Amino acid sequence: MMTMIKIKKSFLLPLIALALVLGGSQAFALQITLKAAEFIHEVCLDKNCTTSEPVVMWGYDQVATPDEAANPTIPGPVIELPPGDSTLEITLINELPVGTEPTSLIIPGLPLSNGAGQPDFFIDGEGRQRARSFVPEVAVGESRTYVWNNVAPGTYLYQSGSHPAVQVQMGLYGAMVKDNAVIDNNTSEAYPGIHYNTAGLLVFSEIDPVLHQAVANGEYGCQNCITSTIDYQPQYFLINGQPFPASRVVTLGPQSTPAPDRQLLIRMVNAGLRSIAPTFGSGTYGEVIAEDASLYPYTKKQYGGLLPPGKTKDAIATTPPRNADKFLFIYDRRLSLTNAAQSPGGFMVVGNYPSGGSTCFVQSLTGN
Amino acid sequence: MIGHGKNALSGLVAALAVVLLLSAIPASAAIVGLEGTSFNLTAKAGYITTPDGGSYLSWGYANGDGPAQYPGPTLIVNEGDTVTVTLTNELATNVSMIFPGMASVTAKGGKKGLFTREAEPAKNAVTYTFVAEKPGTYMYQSGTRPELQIEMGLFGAIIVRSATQGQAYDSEDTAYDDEFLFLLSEVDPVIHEQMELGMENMVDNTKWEPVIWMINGRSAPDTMAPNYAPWLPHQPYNCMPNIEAGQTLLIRLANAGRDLHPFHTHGNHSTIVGRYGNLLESVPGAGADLAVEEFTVQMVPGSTVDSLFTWTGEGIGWDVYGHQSDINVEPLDDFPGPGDVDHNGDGIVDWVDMMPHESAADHGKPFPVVLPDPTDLAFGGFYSGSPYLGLLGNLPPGEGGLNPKGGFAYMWHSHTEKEMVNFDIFPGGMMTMFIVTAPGSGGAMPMRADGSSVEGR
Repeated sequence: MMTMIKIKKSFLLPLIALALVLGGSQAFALQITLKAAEFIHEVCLDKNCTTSEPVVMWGYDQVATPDEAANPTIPGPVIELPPGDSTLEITLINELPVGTEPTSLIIPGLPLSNGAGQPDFFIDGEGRQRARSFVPEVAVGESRTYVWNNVAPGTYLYQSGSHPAVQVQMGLYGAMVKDNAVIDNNTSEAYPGIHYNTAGLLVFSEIDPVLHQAVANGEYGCQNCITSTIDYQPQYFLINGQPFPASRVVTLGPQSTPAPDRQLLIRMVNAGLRSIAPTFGSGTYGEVIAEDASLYPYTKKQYGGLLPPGKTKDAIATTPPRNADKFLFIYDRRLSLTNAAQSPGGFMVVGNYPSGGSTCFVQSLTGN
Repeated sequence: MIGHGKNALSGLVAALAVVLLLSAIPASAAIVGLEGTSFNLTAKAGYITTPDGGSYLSWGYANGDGPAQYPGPTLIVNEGDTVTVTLTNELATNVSMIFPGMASVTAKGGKKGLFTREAEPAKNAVTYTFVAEKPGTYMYQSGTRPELQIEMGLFGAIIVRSATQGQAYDSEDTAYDDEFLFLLSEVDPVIHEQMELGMENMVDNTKWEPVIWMINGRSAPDTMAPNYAPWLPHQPYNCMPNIEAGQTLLIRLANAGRDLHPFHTHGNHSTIVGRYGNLLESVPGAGADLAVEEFTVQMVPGSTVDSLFTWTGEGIGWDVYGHQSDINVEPLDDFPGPGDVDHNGDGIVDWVDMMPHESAADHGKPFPVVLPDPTDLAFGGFYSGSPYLGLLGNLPPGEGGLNPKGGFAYMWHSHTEKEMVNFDIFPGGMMTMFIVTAPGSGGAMPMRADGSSVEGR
């Protein structure tokens, strides 16, 4: 369902050369290419996706070469910037349908190093010049490289910076993460002093199929069409692209096998348009340690919390008592817990204790 | 309130003694609920009413054979208690209870569900057991199809009292004189009507749109009616916060709803000392060193907040305690005596002592406005006729009845202003009035009933 991007050793030499050319102070950069394209996303209505609802979406895919065919997903691929790298370069190729829209790429909290604060403009129906994007755009069929220098460790959302009211909810979003350091084979450091063994990534988003169909049919923004997202009424509430019971946690970090006494870092990203209140289903507490990739001076011990649109939060989990093989890991206390009118569904994800008496559950949360 | 003469001082001292005596009494009377460690709750149906005349089928947890309650009974337990809740189901669908923040819950009986074990209709009860490890404010709620069952009313509050009486947490930074519960919720009548008509298959969670907003299961002005008002049999809890000037009120806020509610306290900021049942401290034993002052508390769905509120009149610009007689009345006896000082620095020695917590700057200052003739005014029920605490002014017959002790009234409400309506009628909704009364007044307002009696009107 989701793909992960890891830096390859072969990248390093060309990257060093590139960094020298750019004159940057950092020695390493992660260079990737994303394609934005339209695709059909099957929203799974049961655990094994035997029934699903097809929805026209826009999404990102990472390609090795510009000629590689795009196979987009929502969320887009998880971008992992290695601890030693502080520069991220994304070449964005716009393969959205001809006649749709230019697009662009932003990472809230990280100013673009080549084009921050330079929107593209358009002339509206009354002859007024109006901004359409936050950063320079890529027209359909073209490409552009976006560069972010001085990337600090943390959990980030990347998303379209063009016509975001439409493009973000169409699916142009994903997560970018960076650790502060690798401690050893079993331990990473998310922020200075925050060690963990396994990270569970949860990217929250919603779908209003009516809007998607209107966009796909060219019936958005025209006369007598849907003119805005003001009546946004999502029917599907997704964690990493699927609603409960098909929802999964994506695991990151050095360890993916269960063992006792491990620190689970939960990285949460709200790519949707509504506030969510992620809450532990087991009733136990976690420690919220960071917000918007910024470490709190003190942790907040809570069993739930608020995750507004565009925000990221990081928490250290408390492992729930082992009283069942499966348990409800996280649910939304705003109670978006259905798939359309069907219950249960929505913003919920189940954890699973592996057999063998371990008190850790992270392996079974790995994405399918 | 205070006599015009130095002999009044002895009366004042006596009044203060009463205040001190009162504050030594456990401050539990203001939150009514069930106390103990073992509770028998029954999920059943009943009708809630709203001030605009609405009546809606609801589900509620009842105390044993009692009526369904919206919200369910407030469970008041002590830190360290092992608490047992036995849930019997008289509804036609599975129900359950979860206890966010309680890490040690075990469930026995019933049938395995998604969140916890569930009680099936007309079958054996489920017993939930947990240790109330930490003091604070908590909630319980249905863990079965919560988007429907919480809307229908299956939720309630849990108060875990500190081992030290009169403190919210195990820190003297959280000491209070009196406490009140503010359990917030919303109602979308469409869902309740669909359920009443047997059209559960028509309920669409994604179209949820509340038009009624409540505190402790009532919309204003019912929030100000007595506890256990007989005309509200399924909504037993009121919300009528009041203290004497200088006292500290513990605001126990809990949001059982689905929307954010910015809860606004007119009259003063409050100091948030706890969230989600945790003292806001940097390290264990530090006290509430991470406490913050806010005048609007953001209430996240599922969250609880413990906040301390006090009111002294500081900065208001006149002496609310009525010491203006310092200026207007000739002192008696041996004035100035050794105990008489110039509190406010106006060059005039004051012969009436300051009240505890009184701001020296305003001591003796008269009300700075000439009050209009009463025949030129319209009155609200909370206006005592006097700008001074504890004094009653001349009012037309029938006026001032909501404020017989001459307190000051402040509206406390959700600052999402559209939530201050009942359906579309203003005022109402998630709103109530806070009353501050004079020191020594006994504090209680006529409508602050403990369930046994209603004094006054």
